[in-house]
Amino acid sequence: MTTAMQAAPSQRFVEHGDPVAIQAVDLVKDYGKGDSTVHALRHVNVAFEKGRFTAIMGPSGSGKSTLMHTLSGLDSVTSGHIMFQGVDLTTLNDKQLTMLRRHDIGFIFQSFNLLPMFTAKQNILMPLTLAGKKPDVQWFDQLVRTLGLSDRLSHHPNELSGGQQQRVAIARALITKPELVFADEPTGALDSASSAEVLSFLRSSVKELGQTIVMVTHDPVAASYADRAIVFADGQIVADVNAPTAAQMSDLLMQERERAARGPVPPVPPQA
Amino acid sequence: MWSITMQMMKKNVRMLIPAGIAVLIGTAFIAATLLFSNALDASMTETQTVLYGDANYAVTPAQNAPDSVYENTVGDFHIDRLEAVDGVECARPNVEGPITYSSQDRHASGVVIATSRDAKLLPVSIVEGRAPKPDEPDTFALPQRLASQWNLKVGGTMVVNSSANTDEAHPEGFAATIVGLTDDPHNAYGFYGGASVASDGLLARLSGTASFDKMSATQLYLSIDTANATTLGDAKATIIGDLPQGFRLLSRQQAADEAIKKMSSDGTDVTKQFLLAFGVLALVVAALVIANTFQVLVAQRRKTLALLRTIGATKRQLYISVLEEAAILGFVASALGVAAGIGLIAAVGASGVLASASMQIKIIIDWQVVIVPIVFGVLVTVLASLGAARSATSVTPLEAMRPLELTDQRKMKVGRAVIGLFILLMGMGLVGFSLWMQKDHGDSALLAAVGGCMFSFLGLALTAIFWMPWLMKGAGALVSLCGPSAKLADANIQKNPRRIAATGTALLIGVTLVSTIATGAASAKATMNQALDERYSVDVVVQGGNVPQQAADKAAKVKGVQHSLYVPTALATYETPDGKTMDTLVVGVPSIQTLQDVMNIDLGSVDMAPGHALMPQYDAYDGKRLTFADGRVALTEQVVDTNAEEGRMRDGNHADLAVTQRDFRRVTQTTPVVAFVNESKFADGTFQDSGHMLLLKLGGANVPLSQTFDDLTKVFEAYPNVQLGGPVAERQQWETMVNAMLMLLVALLAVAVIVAVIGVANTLSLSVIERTRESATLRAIGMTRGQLRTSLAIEAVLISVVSSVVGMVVGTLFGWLGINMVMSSIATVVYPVDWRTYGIILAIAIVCALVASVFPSRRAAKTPPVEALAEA
Repeated sequence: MTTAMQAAPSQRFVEHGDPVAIQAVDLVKDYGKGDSTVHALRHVNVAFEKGRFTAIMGPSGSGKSTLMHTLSGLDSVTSGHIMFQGVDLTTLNDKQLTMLRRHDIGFIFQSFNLLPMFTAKQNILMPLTLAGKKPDVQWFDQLVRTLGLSDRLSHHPNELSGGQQQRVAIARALITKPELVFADEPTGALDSASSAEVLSFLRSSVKELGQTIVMVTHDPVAASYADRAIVFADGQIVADVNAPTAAQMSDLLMQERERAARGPVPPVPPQA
Repeated sequence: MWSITMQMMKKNVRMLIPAGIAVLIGTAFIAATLLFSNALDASMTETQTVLYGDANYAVTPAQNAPDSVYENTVGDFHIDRLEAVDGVECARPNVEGPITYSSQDRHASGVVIATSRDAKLLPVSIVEGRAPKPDEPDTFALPQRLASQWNLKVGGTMVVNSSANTDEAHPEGFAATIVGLTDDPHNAYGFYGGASVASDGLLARLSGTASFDKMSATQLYLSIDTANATTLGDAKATIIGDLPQGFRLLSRQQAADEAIKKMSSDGTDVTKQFLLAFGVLALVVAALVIANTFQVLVAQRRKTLALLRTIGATKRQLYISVLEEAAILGFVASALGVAAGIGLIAAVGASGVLASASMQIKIIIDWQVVIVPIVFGVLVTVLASLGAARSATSVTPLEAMRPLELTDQRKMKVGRAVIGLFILLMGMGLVGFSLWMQKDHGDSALLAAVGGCMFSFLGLALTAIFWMPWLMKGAGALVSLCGPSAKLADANIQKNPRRIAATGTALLIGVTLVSTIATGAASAKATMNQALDERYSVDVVVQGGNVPQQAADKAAKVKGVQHSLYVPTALATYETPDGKTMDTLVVGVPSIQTLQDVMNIDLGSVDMAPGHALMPQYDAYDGKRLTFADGRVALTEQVVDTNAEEGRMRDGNHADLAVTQRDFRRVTQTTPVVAFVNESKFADGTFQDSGHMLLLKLGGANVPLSQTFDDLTKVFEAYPNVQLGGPVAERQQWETMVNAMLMLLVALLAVAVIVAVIGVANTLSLSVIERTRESATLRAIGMTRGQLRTSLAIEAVLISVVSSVVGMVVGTLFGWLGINMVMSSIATVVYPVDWRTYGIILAIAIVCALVASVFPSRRAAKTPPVEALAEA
């Protein structure tokens, strides 16, 4: 329907010649064995550029969350490689992956996952505390200012609104200046006003702070904040759009749903 | 609803395991106690009927029998007539007398019992030769042990005598033929080291009675043929008709039952109740663990419960559902506990550890062994779950729609604080009151002190939820400086003060009791040691007749003897200021230093010049204080009057001496007072030595006291008149007794501590389950597995160290108070701080905490970080 839709879904590579932040090569993830095997990822090849905000979209069970889990080293893969900072993540052990998450990868969760017994400031600094490192005061101040948390630092999570909690979570993800930030449905638990706020912050942290963000979402509006959107269906990439708009993404998703309803029922990957 | 309960329970069965183990330990302990007490009863029955031999009937005085039964003699039983009754096989009167054996200058004493026509009625067994016949002249069977020690053979003869011998023709005893050797497999005469069996005539003569028939006897054992019911009935009727007045015929079983009944009313039941108290204590601690578990279970199920409410479950149904679950848990755990208790006692019996106490463990399972622990276990579990059940009813249907928030947001109840504080203050008031009235009303003061301690502790436990988190905050603030893991541990403890307080309280109970006992023990020991030094001033005293120099020299060389003092003695009297005549043993010592060497108390500086005497502060007989006019004593020597009747004394020389008094005791028991004087008083003839005594101080060498004592006994074996007095043995006995009692108590309390440690593990695993998401998040943002494990270990150590330290402080105070109450009237109380025990308790607390954190932290570390991304 659109020019952005490309013919060979398994051949996604960087188009702009930007340096690559992370790259998946022939990634396969199966759940279960024998007849009941579920193919969550079917030979996915994709790369994400540095300094860009990419959205991964798709209907429920399309495998978008699985892609994010495997890319971030949280989940193992059946076959394939994930290249990050010149290293294949699939060859690392738990300790090495933990260190990677501590220093080079940040996470933003759907349900915020702040630690209830610590204040906002302590939550933001937690990755550095775990590493036993001193915070970069300038960077901390800049983050707090940008995210508008200056007068909320001594509050506990239960004293903050959902939007504020998610902003604290964003600050936590960015405090180590990670190479890459993964956001898993960051607006899933928020109302539309808070969602807009959070998405603006994510975009500005890419534009102004030079971060790299990969966001999983099923909300076309959320995807429209990204520089690039990838549409996932049945464990494969079915579309790759630059500068997506909400309407465009909404149409793409509808198409996928219709196709799924028409065609032979594909094996449904489990929801992560 | 039942099936829903079962489904919910099935899902959380892992969480119920620690609570189940806690109940299991408590009930196992109770079951084991009941079984042990049954075994004790059985063993006592055996002891009661051990004198029966193989007899199946006994003639004994009736209850309420007239006093005349105690004048009954063997002859009154008409044994020959009874034995002639059809069906009666044989009879043996229960008669025993004293006996002394002499062979080649060796002497030993023991007990001798009557024989029977049939050896099967004897309570001892004949292992060689035969039993003496009743009508034989002077034959006997002696204990095999003595025979092998003295190398005596069956067929030989030996001179036997006794202190009761009145036969003027044979004052030195009787030559008797050894016809057999006895053994005492049932320990019937263990006290005497076995028994000899003598023919009737010999036994009568040893007992100083004219004839066997004239010996007094109140019990007769019979063997009656029970094969034929008619003859048995006839025989019994004939026997009963022929009994002296006041006697009755009992079967062996009847007699045993009666004895047990009497015994349990004055002895074993106390032991049983004492032990059961510890079982109940373990269950109380278990109750805290259970309460915690159910609170978490309900908190976790809030969503499910709310859903059930939404679709029509009543509050009552939810309430009952929780109680049902508790009852099932209680029942299963208690049933397993009973099985474990039975297994434990069986293992103890099989291992034979109690064989030295001559106790056989028989497993006797009656209904109480099974029912009582189960009832207790179920009751405690259900009661402990009441709080959780109530909070289950407070779940509103609306909560099903809300996101889950697990943190404990309930407000601390003011009522609890007020009541807890009130009880605490009341307890402290009672303690103060008891100290105040201790001087005048010792018994009620003790009661007040015990009550005060109980109330204080209850108050502390009730208010634990307020002060314990506060203390943990302090301790946590300190350790949180140590790094991210410690910081996280501290934050986690602060998050759930209610649960931490309950866990800490469980541990607090155990540690407080252990340290109360330990402090009481240390204090009692220290106080006792001081008292013992005074009371048993000399370790060993050898006295009586004239202790010969050569034996004294030999004794001084025995291993384990540190110092010895061989001194002359004389008898003297003096008149007290109030006109009484006091018998005094005068002992001549070379110098104060030589005396100090063998004395346990510090004599200080004492003038031992010839004109001086060292005398005790108290009369050894009546404990009254000795006073001397002007600090001088006028001793009049008592010497044997050779002109008068044997044993008469007359006045000898006089000596006027300056007295120094010191608190030493137990130097001699022959006179109420001892006077140590310079030995020159004997050399110059003021006192003639009428005997010698040997004072010994033991120690130094690395040999057990009992061996030293045995060696000394051997040295003096050849001198029949010499008595070896060993206050040290008595003292040792005291110490062993106190130590053994305390060891036992601490071991019993350890059960409560183990349950409390399970509580710590339980709390941690519950927290870990609750915090799955937090753990996963932390793992996702860069916490290593090691850091997560360390954090949980620190959490456990914090909880356990803080509660243990509080427990030790409180327990020490209780212990001091107790010992002050009990001992201050007897001795000067010493308040030791038993650092070693504290160190051990603390070390155990830390190790247990680390062990308790192993499984929970393994589970936490296994949490995959992906779970942080899972939707709520």
